[in-house]
Amino acid sequence: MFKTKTKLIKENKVYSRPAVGTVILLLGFALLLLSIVLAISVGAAKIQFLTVWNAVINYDPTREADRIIMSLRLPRELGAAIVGAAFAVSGAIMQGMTRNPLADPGLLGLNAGASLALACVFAFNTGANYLTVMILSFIGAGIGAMLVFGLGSMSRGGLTPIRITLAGAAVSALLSSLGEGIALYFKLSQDLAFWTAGGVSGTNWAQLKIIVPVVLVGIIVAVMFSRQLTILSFGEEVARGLGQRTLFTKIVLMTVVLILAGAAVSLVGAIAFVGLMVPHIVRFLVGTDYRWIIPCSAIFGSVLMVLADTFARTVNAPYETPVGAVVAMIGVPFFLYLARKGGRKLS
Amino acid sequence: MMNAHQIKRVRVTTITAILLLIAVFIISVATGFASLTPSELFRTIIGQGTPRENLILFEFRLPRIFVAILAGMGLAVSGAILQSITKNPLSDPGILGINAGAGLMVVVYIMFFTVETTSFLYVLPLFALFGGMVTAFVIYIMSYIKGEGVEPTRLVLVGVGLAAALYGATLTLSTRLDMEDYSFMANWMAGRIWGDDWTFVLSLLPWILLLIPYTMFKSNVLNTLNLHENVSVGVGVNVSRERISLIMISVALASASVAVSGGIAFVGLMAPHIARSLVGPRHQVFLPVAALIGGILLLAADTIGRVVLDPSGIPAGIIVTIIGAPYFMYLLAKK
Amino acid sequence: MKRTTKQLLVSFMTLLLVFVLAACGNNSEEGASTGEKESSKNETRIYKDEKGKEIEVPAEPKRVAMMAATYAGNLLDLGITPVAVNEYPKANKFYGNKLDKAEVVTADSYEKLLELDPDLIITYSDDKNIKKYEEIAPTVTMTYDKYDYMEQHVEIGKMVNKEKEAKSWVKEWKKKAADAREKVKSAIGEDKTFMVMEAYGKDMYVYGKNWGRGTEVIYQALELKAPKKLEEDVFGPGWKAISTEVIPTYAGDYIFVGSGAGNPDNSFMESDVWKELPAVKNGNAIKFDSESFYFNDPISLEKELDIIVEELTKKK
Repeated sequence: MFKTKTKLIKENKVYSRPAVGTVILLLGFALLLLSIVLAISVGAAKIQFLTVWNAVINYDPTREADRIIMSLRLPRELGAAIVGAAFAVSGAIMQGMTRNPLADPGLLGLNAGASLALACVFAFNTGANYLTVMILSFIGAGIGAMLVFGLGSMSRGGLTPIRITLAGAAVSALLSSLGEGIALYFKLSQDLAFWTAGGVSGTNWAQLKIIVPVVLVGIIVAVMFSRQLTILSFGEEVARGLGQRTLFTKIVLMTVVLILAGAAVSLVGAIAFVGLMVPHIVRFLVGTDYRWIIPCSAIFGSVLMVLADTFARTVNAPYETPVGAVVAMIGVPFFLYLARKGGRKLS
Repeated sequence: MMNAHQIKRVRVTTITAILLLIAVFIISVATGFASLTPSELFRTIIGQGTPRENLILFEFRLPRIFVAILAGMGLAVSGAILQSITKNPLSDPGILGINAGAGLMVVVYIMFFTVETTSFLYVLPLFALFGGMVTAFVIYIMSYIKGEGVEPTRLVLVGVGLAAALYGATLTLSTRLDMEDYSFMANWMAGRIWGDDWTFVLSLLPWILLLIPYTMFKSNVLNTLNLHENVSVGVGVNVSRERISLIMISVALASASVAVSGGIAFVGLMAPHIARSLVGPRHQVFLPVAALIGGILLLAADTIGRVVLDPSGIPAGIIVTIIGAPYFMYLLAKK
Repeated sequence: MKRTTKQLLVSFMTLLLVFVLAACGNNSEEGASTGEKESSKNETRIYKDEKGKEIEVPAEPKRVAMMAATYAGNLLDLGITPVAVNEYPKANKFYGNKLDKAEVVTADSYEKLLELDPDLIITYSDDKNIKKYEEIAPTVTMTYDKYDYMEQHVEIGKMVNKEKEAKSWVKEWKKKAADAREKVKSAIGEDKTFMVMEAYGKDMYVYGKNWGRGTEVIYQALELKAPKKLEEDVFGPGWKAISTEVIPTYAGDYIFVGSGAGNPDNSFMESDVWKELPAVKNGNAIKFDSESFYFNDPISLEKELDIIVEELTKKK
């Protein structure tokens, strides 16, 4: 058994670089800390670098700078980091599971489903607290994912990447159309757009208290199943040949994806491309072993979102540029590159 | 080539489609918030109506109905061409990012130009047309690889990705609009038939009148292109040149339609499919049926959207999508 | 054949008769309630709009369709209940049930507008549907920020031939404002500063002196001051989107904050930045209902004045 596995792994050219992985992980963590501090110190109100440190260590609510840091900027940057990690890890899992290099929660109907749920929240229950919003987002994302994958698995010939991408596009169109219909009828379309465009601004500690544990648990479960994910990424037959209970693994991983994507959307609205780009960059650095890809994706997803948010905040200050647009600006060329490069293998 | 049975079937289908279109047309003319009894309607049509009836019929309802029919036809034929050329039965002009590109240009126009009441009616469709065509062009270039040409799968993938991105950009810009402009924009994107003036009928008509007959004239080429490439080459069709010119026609039809109708997807997908399942894949017979079905679909969707949920109604695009997306999924699962 | 035509004609005439009767019924009802005397529909006068364009309008418009969101209250104050409004004024609680009879018409539902048979349509000059409106009834337009709120009322007065009534309201309002000014001055002194803001989506908006939401009352009628920075940055453009972080820079001694729409949770009010503002600490942050305060017509203004004066004077 062990022999076959090694052989299979060699055949599929799994290469992992533990040394590089460790370095990347540590470097990434340092980079994340650095970018958060940088992000906190720039913004509409000017704050010295040292003050940031001081405020975190020794919070004094009578100082205005401290108040701004602790009640506005720190939660915001933590929000960006957690959302980035959630999108990136869910993207990594989806790419591994579907063996589709173009998988991304934004392209596979999850974000549209969660946005539809948001539209319903805005329309029917304006007093909803954050926990309700988040749970409804999970359900919405779940509906989107179930439609896409249900559709994909129902079809003869199985889940080819192109088929899943198309199913995702159709499901996204349907769900966002329903959401838009609700929004237009209740005159909420602009409210929703503004809310989504607002990104992570306005994140508060109460929301973080709910979302951080959820996302962390999701990531930890993902790391625990990362070995199975690596095997699954060779293809279902291979995984089954190696004695994996593929259905169980898939259900667990899919649940993690839903929780991560739902949580992220409930905080910032639908942002595509983070989940697409980050795993690709990470894979390029640390190889195709998901034990490394997942934690590194989490870290780099955070870094990407924090930097994108900082850029969005400062590029046209005092107006805030929607962070989703900043991400899309980087993400689209990336997607096009992938589609060009990988188009051949996909069908 | 066709036996008597088939010929009969084609004839029956075509006539049924025409009758159905007429029926939907009549229903659409007769429904609306303002009541117009059949007798009033008849009198108005023969030119004996009161000013009020004339206004309702000739200024409010008919232009919008014609725009819906023409745009539906344009989108259907555009989709039919794409499906045949890419050999992908799931192609739709919306997938080529035309809606998204046109939408972006619409928001750009609303943002940077004062919407002066008269000129904007004429300039806005031009902007949308331009946006749609440029987007299609970019997608084509992006999916072209030297030595391999444009591979259909890649074309679709690039289109999906670019559409997502353009949609994001549109959203970003639209949050800077004020309430009135935003609501116009959101309705445009959702596919409310906004071109409800004779100007729009006139600006769309030449495209339809020229390009649809031309496409039908090219039916044989489309028949061959739909086969294997080597077969097409074998029968002497200059594959790449014909393909490019037909794609351009498809893009032009879709852009012109979307420019006056708003962002409508799935008509271009559904109509050719239904037509093909009714009369078979020969373009000579299936293109006209597809065009008719496209007109029926969009007009029916707009009529439903116009009368349900007072006061604002539901954009036709949303109704089409609610019908079309499940149909698409069904096709995807069946294939 | 001939007989059918005759039947058609008869039925049409009956219909027309019913229609005319119904219209008359409406007219007389309104005439009675507003105490105006009947005037024939044919009588017209010329209204000259802001661009100098002359438009023939009914001498005494009875069925006015108000397609501009903010002017419905001006008509109500002049004693005319519009037959059509868009959805925004319907949400204004200050109007009570005065608009119950007005139908909601969205920008492009021309048929509904036509069925309401307006004799005058009023809208903003940048409305995209003016061309269609003009086919339905005489349409007059005005630009939102071209007039101040008092001129605006007089201008609408001119449109519906009630300029005198409009001017007398302005006179009365000035008197009322002067009284209120004294009251406020004696309660809080003269040197306090004021800020009007709203949360929308995830952004904050600060308003200048002529952008509804009570700004006309605060900065113009009561002649209260804005913080210097606010006056410099916001009075020119009329409004400004700001980051939550810089609220302290624009904050005055008093803050009027809209309950806002489009945000399920107003979480910024939970933050220390908000709680530590001097105005909030001193209990001088006053919430208002955005959907009603949005307007600057006489009816809303008077209610806004009452509320604002009460809030400012109740402590002392």
